Amino acid sequence: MNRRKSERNISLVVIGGSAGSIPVLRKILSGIKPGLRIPIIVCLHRMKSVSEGIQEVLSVNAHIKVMEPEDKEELLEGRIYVAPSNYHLLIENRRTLSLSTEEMVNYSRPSIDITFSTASIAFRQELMGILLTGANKDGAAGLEMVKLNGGLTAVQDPDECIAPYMPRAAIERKCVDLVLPVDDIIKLINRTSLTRPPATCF
Amino acid sequence: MVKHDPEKFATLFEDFRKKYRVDFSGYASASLNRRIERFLSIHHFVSESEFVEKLLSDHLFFDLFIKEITVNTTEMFRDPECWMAVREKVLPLVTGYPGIRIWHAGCSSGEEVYSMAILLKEEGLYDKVSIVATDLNRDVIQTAMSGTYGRKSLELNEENYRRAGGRFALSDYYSSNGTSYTMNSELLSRVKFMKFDLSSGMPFSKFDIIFCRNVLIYFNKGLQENVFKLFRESLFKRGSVVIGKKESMAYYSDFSAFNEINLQEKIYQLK
Repeated sequence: MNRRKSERNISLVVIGGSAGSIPVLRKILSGIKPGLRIPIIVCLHRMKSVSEGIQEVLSVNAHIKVMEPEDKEELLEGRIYVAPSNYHLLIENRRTLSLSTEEMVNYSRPSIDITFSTASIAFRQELMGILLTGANKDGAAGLEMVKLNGGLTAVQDPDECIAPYMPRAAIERKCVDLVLPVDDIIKLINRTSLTRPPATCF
Repeated sequence: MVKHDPEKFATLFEDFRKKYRVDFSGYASASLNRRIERFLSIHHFVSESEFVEKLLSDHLFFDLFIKEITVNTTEMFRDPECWMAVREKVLPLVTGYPGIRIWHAGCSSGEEVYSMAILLKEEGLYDKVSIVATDLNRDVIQTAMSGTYGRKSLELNEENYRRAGGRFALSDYYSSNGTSYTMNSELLSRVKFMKFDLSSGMPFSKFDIIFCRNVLIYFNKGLQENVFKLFRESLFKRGSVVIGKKESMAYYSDFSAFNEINLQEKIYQLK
């Protein structure tokens, strides 16, 4: 498969969201075509007491396995890793995740800023960061880190968000490459995954 | 602000180990580097050399550094289902013993030490236990010994206690004093605190139950392996170890030496 030079080789997608993001994420995940060649990490704010059930809620696509990783879990292509409730999810290096119970960041644990910034250090320009609807500024600084480290950044179009605060906070930081409706976010992920050369170095 | 250079900083680990007998080389890097950056953004240094010089010459400053880069967040009865499982599955294993030895490895500010003491009291076992609680950091041990915590943690701790199947009210075990509350000191009558670095790997005693929850997540797999080995050597036959809900013993090379008592809550028993 030929790739245009301008197209990046993305090895990891990180997605963050808060208020209203679960239905959006369900839509995105069900739109992913078979043969996903990269891992996707998802960091969502949710109620601390609602710790169970997210795996089931997000298991909407028979082709991809959704999991809440344990500490030092290995990153594998074709999987969706969801930050467990009450833990921060960090990207240790290109192969390994780790968890932390550090203080909340932006009143959140998991914090999208922590997941995005550690992913940006491990994956640099091979990272795509996407922020969805949310009523918290968490994620904006993380997305800026993705941009500063050479990655590709996108946000859900605030006009179609239930809570536009989160994507707007990122846009205000001038670190967003693409402002997209959900349908285009799905296309972007599929294009990224399918243009990636098979059997790369995971 | 002085910029953190992880590779350069790692060259200091050997000096720290020799001088302070604290070894960071097995720490998980993403969290460690984040914490060091945070430390540098709070404390202002003119230059990197000033920072390094101070770390290597000022013991108190090094203690402060350890305190701030290690993670000490904890709760009483954190993950209530785990404490329920300890009550229902682990304590019955030791009830008939003439004496019960318990180790809290990485006790932080002591919330889980008090949680366990309360559980043991409620199960009528407290009088025959001896408990050792260790941490790397002197300051958090001081907090643990004082048993005084800020009021804002109370609501969560109360809720956790209830969900963990507490038989009475948490308020039976503390006295309130305005902005803080202090745990009854009799809960510590059978507890000994000690400074101990898990990464040193040296067994110092034998135990029936080891608690080490949400400590291993800050270590890389190599150090986790060493700590599991240390636990294995520190457990009596049929002794139990309780780790954090999202931690895994499955990477341990000698995992087959253990049975799973509760897979969900990560409670294992030495065969």
